Amino acid sequence: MTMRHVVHSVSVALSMVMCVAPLHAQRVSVEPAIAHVDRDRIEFLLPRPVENDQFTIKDARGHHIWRIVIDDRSDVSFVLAADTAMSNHDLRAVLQASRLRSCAQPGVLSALECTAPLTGQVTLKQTKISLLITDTAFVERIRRIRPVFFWLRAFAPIGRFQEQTVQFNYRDKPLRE
Amino acid sequence: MLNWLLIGLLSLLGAAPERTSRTPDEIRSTVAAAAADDSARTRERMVLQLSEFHLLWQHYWKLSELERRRVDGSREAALLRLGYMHCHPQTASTTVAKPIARVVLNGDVSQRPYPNYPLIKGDSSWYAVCPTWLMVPTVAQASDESIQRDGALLPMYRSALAASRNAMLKRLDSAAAGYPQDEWYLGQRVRLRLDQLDTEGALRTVDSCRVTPWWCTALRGHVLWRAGRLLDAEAAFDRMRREMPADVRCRWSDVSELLPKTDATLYQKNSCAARDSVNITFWWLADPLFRQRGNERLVEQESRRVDIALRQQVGIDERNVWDVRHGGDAMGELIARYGWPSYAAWGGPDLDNAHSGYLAGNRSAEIPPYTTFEYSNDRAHFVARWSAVASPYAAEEMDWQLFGTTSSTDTNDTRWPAEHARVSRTVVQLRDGQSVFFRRQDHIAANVAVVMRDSILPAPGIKFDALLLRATDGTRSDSLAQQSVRGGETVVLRGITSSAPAVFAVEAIGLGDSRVNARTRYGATPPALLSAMRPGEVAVSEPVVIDVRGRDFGARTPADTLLDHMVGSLRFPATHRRLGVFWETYGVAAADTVTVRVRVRRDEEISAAQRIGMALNLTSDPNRPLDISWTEPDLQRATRTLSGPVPVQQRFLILNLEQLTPGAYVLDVRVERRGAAPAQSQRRVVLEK
Repeated sequence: MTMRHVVHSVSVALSMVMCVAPLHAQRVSVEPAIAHVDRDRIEFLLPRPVENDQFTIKDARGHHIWRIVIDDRSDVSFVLAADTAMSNHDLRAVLQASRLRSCAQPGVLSALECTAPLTGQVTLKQTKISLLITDTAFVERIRRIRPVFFWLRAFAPIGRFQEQTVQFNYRDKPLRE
Repeated sequence: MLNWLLIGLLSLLGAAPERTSRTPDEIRSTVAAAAADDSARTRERMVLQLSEFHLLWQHYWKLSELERRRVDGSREAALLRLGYMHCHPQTASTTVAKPIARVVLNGDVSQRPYPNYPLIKGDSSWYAVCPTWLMVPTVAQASDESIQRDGALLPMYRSALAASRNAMLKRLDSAAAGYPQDEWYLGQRVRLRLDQLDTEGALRTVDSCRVTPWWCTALRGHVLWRAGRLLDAEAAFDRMRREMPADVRCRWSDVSELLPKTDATLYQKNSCAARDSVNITFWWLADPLFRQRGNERLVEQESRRVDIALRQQVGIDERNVWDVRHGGDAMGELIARYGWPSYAAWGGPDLDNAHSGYLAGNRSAEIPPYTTFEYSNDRAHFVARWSAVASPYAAEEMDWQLFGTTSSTDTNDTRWPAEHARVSRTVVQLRDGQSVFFRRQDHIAANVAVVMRDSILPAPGIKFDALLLRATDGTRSDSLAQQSVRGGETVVLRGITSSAPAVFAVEAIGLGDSRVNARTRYGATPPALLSAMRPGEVAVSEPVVIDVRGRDFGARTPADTLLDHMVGSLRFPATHRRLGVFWETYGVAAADTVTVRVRVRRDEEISAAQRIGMALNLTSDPNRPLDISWTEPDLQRATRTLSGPVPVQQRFLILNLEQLTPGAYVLDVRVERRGAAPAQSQRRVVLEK
């Protein structure tokens, strides 16, 4: 047994003393996200966590959160999050428990502090999670500042996370009558 | 305490009917479950928030890296770094990386001048790390991450990040108040405070530690070391090892990762009980300087182990994975061997996608971002060869190779050792010294000469304080002699010792503004005292080479004066072929008739070409020795005799070796007294071209 195993086992031993779950982890997909900005709606297509038995511990429990931060200097940040941690890896159940919320300050440290409701629909669309935001004020705001990209920060149980830079795709066709 | 609060709450909430219908055990069990549930919820929220903080750090770091590349984009460095970011093992079991690509630079193929470079691979993942020296002497707007954890962030982001870390700490402190026996909160609070360079705050956090005693002590040692309190940290880690259960200590203190693979196998054959004593010798020999209290290398290692354990508590942090199933064991081994890197260059999102694809293709978790792991060149390899650990008193100077320390532009990974560390002052290795022991009735006279020369020593003229030391274990070191010497000069140190085996060391501390120390060490078993000689026995000391250049030494020059001019290197340039040779005989009285022979013989195999040349009479036999012999007493020769129960005779002559071809030679001295067995000793010298 090498020292790296030792230190790990010591760490695990400590975890056991603490009566906490072992260091579970779930892979967060690196599949790229997409965002289409229409005149009356914005659709974010987010990667779903990969269900892969090789990497996923079935009983891992924690928070699934997708946080979108639109350019550091603007004041737009929102999350798709559930209030509570979940041990269920059924993505439909996770999404059912999740709500779209706007963050008062983009720099707020935790997504759990983003509480203002945001109108939109969350659905599973092929391999992606679709966030369709129809909140008029929000769409107008984005179109007015017309950011080039946003940061997608995805969190999965336990302590797995990843950040992607995603470009907005502006579709400037005329408003539907 | 929380349990009691909940019991109080249950009574306030009118839970009386339940109390009457349930047994006290059931109530306790319900309360405990509620508390556990509350604990788990709090922990889950804290894990999420800590993850968010780490990702924020990563965000600022990526922006910093992109900006650095924009303003200071060395194309060559970027290309060289590619291979280190795409760290691919050749096979699942190899410990070297294959160069994945020959990169084209200005039309030429540019790659490292060696076929492979070091690699540490995860056991259950294809994720691997390829450590290297810094690719460039300085990194724009970055400071060394091993000193300042936020060093890789552009200065403009550091204060915002520090504010976020403070906010995170407040949350952790608040949550931890409810769970004083939870090691996760304790560990992460200590870790974040150290990242914030708040060692006082970290120490206060450790003061509140109510968890496993040895872990509390380990954290204390870790914080004290970060605070620069070496001796306090060392005392804490000593106590930690005593507090650990034997099986935990055996695994915790395993040093096999700091050894080359074959040596690690030998180490692992030891039982846990045997390892305790092997570890003591191992760390004694790895001590950067015997003359200074405290073993910086050992304390650094214990601190690294605590650091790894703290990181493995979270599985993933700012930009590194620690979960062993996803390659975190490679990261753990990297830190155990080399400590925290000075700089980690990021390849950008495209490289992340490409390398994630490679990992996914090998059924391994994708764990971007992928970086280099670059180390500053002021680190040295302190661990001795395994043969020295096994027999310290037989150790040779070359059993230590501090060669990690090089000039700042040297990026040659062929010199990449199994471990290295930076200590408070750079330590360089002195080479090719000359050492001799002279026997006396009740003591041994130890004489050592060494040249204060190394490629990275400061310019000649810098003063050093040099000590000759004798050490027999990690706790017993004694100084034998002290001299002041300037860089480039030879220092001769002469002291008195016993005949017991020991490790001898010359350790020089740079004075003034110099931040460099120098040292050499070796094991030796001095000869027996003269009082131990049998009647009629004759013995001879090792010959000592004296520097006679520009000096008028006669045969009657006192020994003390001669020995002050011992050469500090036994490698002689072409301009230095006139050597003085001094030696002592024991058991030969002034009136005894003895035959003395001095022979200089070649110490190398003759090449086939030379043999042919000799056969054709085209060249002389280079192995033909140079012999000088004579019989004493001889009025022409001045031999000094020190009288005593066993007489000591001192002889000195000057050899002119100009006629010898360059190469390695053995200088033999043989003394034969009629009726006694001949005594002989030798010294190896090299005549350079």
